[in-house]
Amino acid sequence: MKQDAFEAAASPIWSDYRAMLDALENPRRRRAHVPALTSFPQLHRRLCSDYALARSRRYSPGLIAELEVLVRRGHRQLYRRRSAPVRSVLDFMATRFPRTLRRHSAVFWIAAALFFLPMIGMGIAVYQDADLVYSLLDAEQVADLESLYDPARHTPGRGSERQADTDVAMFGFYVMNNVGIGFRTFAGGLILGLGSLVILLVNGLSIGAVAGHLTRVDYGATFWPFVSGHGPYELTAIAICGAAGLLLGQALLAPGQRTRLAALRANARDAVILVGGAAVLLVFAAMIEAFWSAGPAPSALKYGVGVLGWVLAAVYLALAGRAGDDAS
Amino acid sequence: MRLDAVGARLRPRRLWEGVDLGFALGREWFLSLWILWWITALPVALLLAVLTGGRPDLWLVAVWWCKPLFEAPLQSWAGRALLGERPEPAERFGIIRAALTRHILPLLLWRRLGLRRSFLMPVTLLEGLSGARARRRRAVLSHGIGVPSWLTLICYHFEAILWGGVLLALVFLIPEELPRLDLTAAVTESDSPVYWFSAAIYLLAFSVIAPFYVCAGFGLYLTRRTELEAWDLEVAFRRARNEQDAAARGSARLTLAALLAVGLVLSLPSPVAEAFAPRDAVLDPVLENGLDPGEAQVIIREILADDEFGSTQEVTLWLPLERDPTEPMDGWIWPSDLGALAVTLAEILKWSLLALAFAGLVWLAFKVIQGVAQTRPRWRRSRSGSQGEGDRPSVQLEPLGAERLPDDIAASVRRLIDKGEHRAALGLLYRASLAELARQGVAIPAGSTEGDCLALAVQSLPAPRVGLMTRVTAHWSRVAYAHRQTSGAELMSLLDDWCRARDLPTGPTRDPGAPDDA
Amino acid sequence: MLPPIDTVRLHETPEGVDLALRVAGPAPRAIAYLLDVVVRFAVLLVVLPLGAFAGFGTGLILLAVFGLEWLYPVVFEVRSGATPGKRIMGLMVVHDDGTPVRLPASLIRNLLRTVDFLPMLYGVGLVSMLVDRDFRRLGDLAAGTLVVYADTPPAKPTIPQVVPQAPPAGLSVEAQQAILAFAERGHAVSEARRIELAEILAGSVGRRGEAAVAQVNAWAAWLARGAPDGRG
Repeated sequence: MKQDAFEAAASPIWSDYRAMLDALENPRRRRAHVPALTSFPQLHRRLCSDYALARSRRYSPGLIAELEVLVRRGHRQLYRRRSAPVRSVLDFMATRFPRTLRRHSAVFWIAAALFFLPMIGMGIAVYQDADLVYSLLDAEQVADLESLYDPARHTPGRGSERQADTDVAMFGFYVMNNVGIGFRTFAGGLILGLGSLVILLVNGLSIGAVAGHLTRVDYGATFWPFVSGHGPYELTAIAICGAAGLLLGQALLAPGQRTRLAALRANARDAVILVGGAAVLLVFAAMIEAFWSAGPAPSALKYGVGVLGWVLAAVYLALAGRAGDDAS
Repeated sequence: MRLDAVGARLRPRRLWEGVDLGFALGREWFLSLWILWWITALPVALLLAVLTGGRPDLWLVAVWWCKPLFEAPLQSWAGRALLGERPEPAERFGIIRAALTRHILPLLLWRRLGLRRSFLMPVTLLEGLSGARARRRRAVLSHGIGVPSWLTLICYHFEAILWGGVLLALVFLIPEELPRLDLTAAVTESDSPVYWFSAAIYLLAFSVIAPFYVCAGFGLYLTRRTELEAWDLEVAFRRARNEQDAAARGSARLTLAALLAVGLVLSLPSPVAEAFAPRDAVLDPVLENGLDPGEAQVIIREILADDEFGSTQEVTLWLPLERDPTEPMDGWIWPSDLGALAVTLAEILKWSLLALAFAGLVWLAFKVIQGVAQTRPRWRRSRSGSQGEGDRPSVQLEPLGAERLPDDIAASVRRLIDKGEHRAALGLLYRASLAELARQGVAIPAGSTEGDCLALAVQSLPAPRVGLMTRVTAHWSRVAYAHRQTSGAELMSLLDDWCRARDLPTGPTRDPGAPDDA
Repeated sequence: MLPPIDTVRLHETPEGVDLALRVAGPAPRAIAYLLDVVVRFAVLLVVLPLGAFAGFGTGLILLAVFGLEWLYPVVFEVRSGATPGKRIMGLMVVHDDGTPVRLPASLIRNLLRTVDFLPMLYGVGLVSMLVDRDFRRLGDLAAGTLVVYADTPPAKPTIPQVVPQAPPAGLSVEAQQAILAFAERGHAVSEARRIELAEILAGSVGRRGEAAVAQVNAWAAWLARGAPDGRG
């Protein structure tokens, strides 16, 4: 068949197809066009076969290029992967994130051990030995810390008119800082897992050192109530980010039966779910840190909220999404 | 010379795609080009080190200035490799001698600072033009496009990034106990030995980027000629003509020189309207949109300094006399004070955030409780060993298959075998086995394969039953996936064993020698 | 013989046709990144006056910095396939099967940007792009994404309406395609060049000058439409 005859025979179908593509690519017109779309897959297959014919019959390059662009646009529409926006965020937190975490519970426990054990160890050691804190922080940083949590300097009743204002500033700061740390902990996993490992260890050690030191110099009464509220979520989330990073490292170091690249892709898919969930946890923690931890509530209540937080976090991560996919 | 062996696909493409083609070529030929670069550059660099009297900063500038000298051989090499004639290692010196003619002198002198170096080098080296004709040719090729200059700028930055990256990586990776690289000395103090080290790394970065830079310029040149002169068509036409001539005369050979010489039409007007506007024109409006922070700060300070700003006079005028100004209700009156406005906004933001979080928490808690209530009976029972088991629903077996299981399974199977419907018989047997498995409390997750079911059976059935299940599964898989029919005799004996294992009466034993009834 | 080097990556669709994805290299991507930096900086400048609202404004600015650093590329890539910088350069991000990029892949490639950025200004990413056949940085490798040139709707070329003539026997299919391409693209090159090109092929049958161009166009018409009396 000559090119002209071929074009003449097929061009009505092509123009139908092109009109449908134009509608699909325009989100506003897409809705109006829905009923007519049932024929789209058939049309796409027809276009693909026309394109293949045009190529194998060596029609003119112009025609082939035109058909290829059409096929590519159709491919993008037909194989587009979609997801519902708001509902999916909630579903993500209720099922996908905790499930994925439980599936990788071994890695999570390793990351948690790498984070919490040095923290506790360092805390106790610094509490025992006054000089040990200077192995991690220099004198200036220690002085800054002390002034920050000095009970004498602390004014519990900040002017109520400035309260909300500063709170929002601190919220912005905590989100930027903490979520950033979480993301970096994850990304560090790409360096054979070493980056995550180092960030987990260093953060664990320094948090432990700070806590131990402040308790030793009797500033615990201002420090512990402050951190108890948001600690459960923030620390857990950092450990989860570390676990996600370690997953990347695992894929590179021990890919098993797959190539390193295939293993990395498979693990990265799960890891990014963990990081996404951890980011939500971190934003939640930042909110508590900014709006609650610095607030004027009595210490006992703050401790209570802290304990409740650990229980909630544990229950959530252990139980959420145990049920099958929603029947609805 | 084989004309059909052009090493890159020539087709009309965008200019940036031409650059990318060059990067692909550079990667393909990297090792050869890199070695070629060092063969020219190393002696020159050593000579310059002596000439500059041991001053590393001068040396680096001098080496940098001589870059066209090292790039010319790469260009010649790439020109030959593109036409399928990849030069042998032994030919390297020949290529270098041929490339370093007096034609490249301008490149080392007044044209050294031109930003289109690698793009225009083929005009000198491959077309062999000089003087006014070369100038006209260069003007035609580069009329109205900015990509060649951008390419040069980008490659300078790539060099700097590689250099800085290597230096920083060395600083980061050497443990503190070892003598560390002094970064400031390496970058600023030109009389320190570390500066030599950093300059040498810069030379290394030159060498790594040079093959890509030369090839990218070449790719751009090819793309431009394809665009202006349909060079790809010329190659195809020439090949067709060659084939025809060869068919007519037996054999014909065209040389590289002939191909290139004929391909060069020298005095071309620029026929193609240029579709690529210079990129920087696009940048300007974006830059202008922003507000200068300095200006903004000045304006803000002026507003703050104004007498009216922050005055409490208006507020007191509009307030009832008896009202206490420190009362918290104040916040709800729309304040004219900027600070108070901010506080209100902050308050709103804070509480809406909290409300949102609280709603999310309640929903989450609801979900968790609902989920736990739904699954408590099952996940207690399910084994924790197999991954994801608790997360997948198991299926009731009734939906499997179109019809319900008959009451007397053995009889039905036997009837089917007699009718010759072996596949249906085996299917029924397999289905019945699975249903039995499910009745014994084994949760079979949706989407399990035959192998998964067998693995579950191995965990929960007694050993003799497992053997039977294995046989049934094997027969079924052969039928279902390989279309290998099981013979009637085999099926009968399988059914008899199946019945025997369940203390059901076995059917009339068949003579193994009897012919199949299928 | 080795296949010719090209920047096209072929993906076979379920319908059994090859889609060509034209991958973009480090140079245009660097420019696109620069443009994005400019855009982000401009947004930051717009937000900066919020600093007037002491604490509250600072909070918003910090949130904006966070969003611009981590979420800016994700939002634009998921919404329209390309950040503003990439769009200006005519690039877009797709999965390696040619479908538009979605949230998980976009998140992976943009969070792992941190590693590509090491040790400074995308040193690791640059080396990865120079080494990889499809110019992918580490984030692209982990996410399974490609940065490709977006489609430019091609102007439909036409083959001149002239009386068809059968071309010489024994032309290879590549040569036939070149003849068709000549008919489609011939008007884009200068007249002298057009004649020169046509003479290469039509010279063998003794045509010169404009006659050669007409001859090649007649062959192209025959290849596209067949003989004038309908045989073909």
